Amino acid sequence: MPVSRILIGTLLSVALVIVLGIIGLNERGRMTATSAAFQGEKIERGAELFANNCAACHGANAEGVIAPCLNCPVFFAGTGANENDVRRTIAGGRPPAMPTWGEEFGGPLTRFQVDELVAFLMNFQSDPRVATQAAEMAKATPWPKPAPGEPGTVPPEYEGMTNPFDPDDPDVVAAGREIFNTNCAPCHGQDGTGVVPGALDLTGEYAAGLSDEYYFFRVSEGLPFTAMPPWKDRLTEEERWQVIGYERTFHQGR
Amino acid sequence: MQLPLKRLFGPQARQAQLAFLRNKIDQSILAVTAGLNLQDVRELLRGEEPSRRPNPRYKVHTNSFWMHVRPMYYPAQSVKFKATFGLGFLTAFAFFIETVTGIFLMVFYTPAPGVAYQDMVNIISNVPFGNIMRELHRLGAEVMVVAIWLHAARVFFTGAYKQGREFTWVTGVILMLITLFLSFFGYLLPWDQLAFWAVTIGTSMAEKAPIAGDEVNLLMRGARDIGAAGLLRAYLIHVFLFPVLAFIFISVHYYRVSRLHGISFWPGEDTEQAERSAPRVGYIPNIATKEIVWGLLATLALVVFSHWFWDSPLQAPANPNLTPLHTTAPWYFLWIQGLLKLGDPGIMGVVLPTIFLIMFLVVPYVDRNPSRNFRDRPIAMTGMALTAIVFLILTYMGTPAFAVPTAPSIEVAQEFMPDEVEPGGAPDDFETIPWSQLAVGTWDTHSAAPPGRLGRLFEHFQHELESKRELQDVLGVLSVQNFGPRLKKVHFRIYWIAEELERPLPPAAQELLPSQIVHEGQTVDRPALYQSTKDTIINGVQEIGLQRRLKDLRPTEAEGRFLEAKLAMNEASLAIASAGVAMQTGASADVPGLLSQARDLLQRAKELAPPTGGAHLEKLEDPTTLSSLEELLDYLGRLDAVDKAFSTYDKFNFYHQDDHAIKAGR
Repeated sequence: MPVSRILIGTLLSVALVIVLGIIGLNERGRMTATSAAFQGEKIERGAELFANNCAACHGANAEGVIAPCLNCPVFFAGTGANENDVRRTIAGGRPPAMPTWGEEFGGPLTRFQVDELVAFLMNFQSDPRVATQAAEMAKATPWPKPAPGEPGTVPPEYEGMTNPFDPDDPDVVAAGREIFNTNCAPCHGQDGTGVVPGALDLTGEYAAGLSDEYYFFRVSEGLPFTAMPPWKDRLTEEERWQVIGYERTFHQGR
Repeated sequence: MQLPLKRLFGPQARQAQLAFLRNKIDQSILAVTAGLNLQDVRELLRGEEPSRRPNPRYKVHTNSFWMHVRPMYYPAQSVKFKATFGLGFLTAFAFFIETVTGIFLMVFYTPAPGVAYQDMVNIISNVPFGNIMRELHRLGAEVMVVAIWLHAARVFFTGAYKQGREFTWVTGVILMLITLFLSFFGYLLPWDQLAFWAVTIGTSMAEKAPIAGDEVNLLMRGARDIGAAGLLRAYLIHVFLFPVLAFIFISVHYYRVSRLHGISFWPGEDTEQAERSAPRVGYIPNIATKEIVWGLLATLALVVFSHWFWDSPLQAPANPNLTPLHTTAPWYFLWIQGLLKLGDPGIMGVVLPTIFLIMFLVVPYVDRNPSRNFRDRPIAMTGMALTAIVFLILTYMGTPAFAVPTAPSIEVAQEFMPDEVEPGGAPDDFETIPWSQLAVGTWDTHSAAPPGRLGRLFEHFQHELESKRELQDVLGVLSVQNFGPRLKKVHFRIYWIAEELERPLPPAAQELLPSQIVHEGQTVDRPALYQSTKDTIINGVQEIGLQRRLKDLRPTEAEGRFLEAKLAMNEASLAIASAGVAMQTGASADVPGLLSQARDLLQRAKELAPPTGGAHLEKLEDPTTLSSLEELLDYLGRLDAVDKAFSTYDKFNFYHQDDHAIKAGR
């Protein structure tokens, strides 16, 4: 009796080792697949959250309606969205229109749900169209940001332009301040130091070193791949110069 | 000089050396086995009787700490399979598996709400053998609950709680409670939706207790709702308090079984004569090898089953703000949930279960019938059989299938949604469809089915819808659309006509409203103005929604007809309401023109609507015959009721490719 049990026991032990071996050999592949599956589920849940909470403003497919487009190349390219920025923006909101969503800021979504939304939005980045469009846009922009200390180069039509207003004129400064607070402060902050990630600190030395013509060019045409839009369609030439006049007061430490 | 070669290598020397060696080996084996020498071990492995007296195999039990827990021998009748069915052993074995896998899982787990779920994901997707450990732990828990119930049933039906075994039964009942609570508090730890809501339901049963319900609930949850404090408490109870209690009670239980009264024989075999003359089966080697073999077999079975045939899914992270459609307690507490559906929660949820428990505990002290034979115990046997049946029925009543009113449309849609997979449950049809066969398009139940595997699922959907009597003229739509890279949106939309018409606002509610209100400086009769403006606003909003639906959803033809019929009804009621406002305020508006416009729109709706909807519309008279404001308002109310009977329900979900690949590959 014990002899046959010893035999059975040995066979069972060998079978157990073999089974565990088979499971062990497949573990690496299984873990990779499961990670992908969890990421996939996260994206699925993020998509549902998006459809229920965000689609009203950002569009059913995140194409942007009254709020910015979130699946456009410009959202991801260059200094555009990265995971942390997107998470911070969703959780904390973005003045003036975007409310706070994270529960830590009094919003309705848990930390996991914010993460799921981030996973869903960042998934658009893997869209090959986003990558190719971003590359094409980079080629189409021959006027990059200048290195620190350089005044910057501008297209021919902006060359040699100077501010027609006296930057010390209090009226100009007052008019510029109003334009600035309405249009620029949501990103650059009322004090010009920049409140959202990526917004240029207008009080810094870099901004102080920029020439008038470059300043005017950048405000008019915007900075591709970033949230800085071209303002030439929304502000008149006078208004643009007035706001530049006001921004120059940041550099003078006033 | 002559070397003493003879003394070192001669035959005598050889013998002396061998004797010395044998003596050393003997002593080593004696030390390791705590009492068996080389000869004893040889006999043991050959399956022979021991040649030395007194039996050296019994000596092991007095020498070794581990072996002193086990008896030296058993009577042959008590080790027959029939005597116990191995159920006590299986329960203890499951507890052992739970301990080993539990310690493994503890290494990777933090009991804090923000971290616990991430840790679970990590265990499953990033720790080698993490998933199999988790599944073993989960399956082992279920095995333990089932085994302990069966063990109790065996003890009861064979009357094994009699003849000095009364208190052993009591410790067994306590162990059963401990097992249930161990499993219950472990349920919460993954911190997913399943965990959170099952435990919320479970603890809320305690809340219903008559005197200290609130306090008990607060003590368990650590706050009004389960949160960080509740999770930490559940964790400590699960890994410390109840394991320690289990260890203590298992010790008492096993000590009584092994030292005081032994394992009972099968009823009828337990005569005093048999017990005195029972042949002995030594623990070493018979029972020891038996236990090892059964242990190995059970381990192998558990590993194979949990890896290939069992799935402990991790659902979405716990969200206190989102209650899943069907929330249930863990299955072994479903009978309490079934009881709760029958009456007062305090009595049904707490008092009755407590009475059950007490009855269970005192069984051996109440049942003084000395016989263990089945035939001599008709009351006990039928009583317990009936109790078991009642428990099974109550368990069924605890499931959402019983007396939980869910709209049939929701039920059907829910069946195809993958979110709420129960542990061990079969995956939904959808999850077995490979990503490549998830064709993009829109189909309705009146037209051709989609191709391939999706088509089979669609036919299932169609069949489910048609089997629901409440859904008249039902139309189901399935739409699969691309929604970003490697992501598809799957949308179920269900349209049907309610058989009965309901007045939108019950008369009692009407009476609560003030009869006159001030409108633009004038005092106006409330019902007229209220009704017409309310209808105008509601219809306006609906119309926007419908138009958007018609545009955005890319409806199928049948779906489009349904929506357009609804839209036409809306526009008709708007026209009638405008006519009503004109009548009441005396504004210059073409009342007959508005009414005939409404008639045309209703005619169009009738043409577009499915048969039952057309029949509803048929009951409405021609609006151009309306002359007074009262008639008109009444008509609007009835039209609104018809409009409400045109019911819609939709539910969507998303599928990601990577996600899908793994589910299909399983």
